[in-house]
Amino acid sequence: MTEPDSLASQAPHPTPWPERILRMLAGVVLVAASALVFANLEWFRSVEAMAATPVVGLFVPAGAATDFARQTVYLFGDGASPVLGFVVSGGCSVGVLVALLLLASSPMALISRFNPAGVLWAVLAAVCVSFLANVVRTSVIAVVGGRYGREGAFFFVHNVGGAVFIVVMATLSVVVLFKLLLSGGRRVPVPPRETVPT
Amino acid sequence: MARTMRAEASAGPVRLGASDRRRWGIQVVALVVVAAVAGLLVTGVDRVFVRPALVSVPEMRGQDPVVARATLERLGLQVAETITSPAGFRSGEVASQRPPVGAGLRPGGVVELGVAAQPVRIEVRKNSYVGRRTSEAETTLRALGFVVSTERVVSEIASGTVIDVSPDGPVMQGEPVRIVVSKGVG
Repeated sequence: MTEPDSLASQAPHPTPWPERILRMLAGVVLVAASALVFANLEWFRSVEAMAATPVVGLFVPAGAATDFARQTVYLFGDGASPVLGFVVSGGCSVGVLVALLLLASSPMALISRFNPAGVLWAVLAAVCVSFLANVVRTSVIAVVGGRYGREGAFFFVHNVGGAVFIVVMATLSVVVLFKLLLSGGRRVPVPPRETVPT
Repeated sequence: MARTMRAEASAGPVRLGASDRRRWGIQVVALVVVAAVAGLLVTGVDRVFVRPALVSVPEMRGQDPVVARATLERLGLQVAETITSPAGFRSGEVASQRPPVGAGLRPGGVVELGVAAQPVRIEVRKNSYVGRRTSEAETTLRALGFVVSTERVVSEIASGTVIDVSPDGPVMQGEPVRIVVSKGVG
């Protein structure tokens, strides 16, 4: 088989219209989700604080609670002021990262050869990796800051440890996205490699 | 080249198995992560507390207790009634309230209304009050249901000491009682 023949055999078949619609829908869903997160970053932070609360509650004597409207986790019984709480601020959120991830993934559903359902699943998993990583980071900062003081310990876990961790985990979420796309989301199976005798 | 092809052919099924395992592995990891996030969100919803809107307590003094109760209950507050001295109020009117006007209460909070009692005549003995501290005398007389007014005059007696109380004798609750207090020589 010559090289042009090989390429011709791998050329994608015309996409049937139901699949085109599905692709369009998947792309629109991703763009819409991205816009929603961008427009509601404060709400997203509230959800992050809410998700971190059960984890924080495991490590403080009298549990934790969330004030959803203020993106605050209150720690009870650890000696920290329960009035102040732990606020998930704009810098502590992965909202922008998630919105960008959603936006960047939308073309994959629209123009790539990936299965649209697979793209959605991969994006969901990648978003969840980022989200979960930030929940872990938030919880660690809240617990360590609450228990060991809001000066030295808080600074270290927030500005040093937390920052490095979130960069690593954000990268991991992109890796997970592509891993999932490449492992199960392809529409057209790649033919086996052939060695051309010379 | 032929050796390469043989090697690929013989390693083919083994590689496919490993690749499948990797593929399933990443899918399982993704599933676990998504499930963990869903679990945290569901658990977190139980730990959200809603900051309730506070109800501002209105002025109830001088009102009929039935009307006051209806007003407060319409605002979602509960009412507890007590009998209090009628100082400055007609018998049966709301004479005091706790918390005071403008205080914020959560819905369901209790407002204590003091309803002015039927006034009775009480003997006010001037000698019981002269020489006592002003605040002490005022508190006692107010507790008995009198409307207390205080007048400060120059006197050689220590500042803040009650010099005179009038009227001296039986006084109807709700009526004024005047206290004269020393403000010292200066």
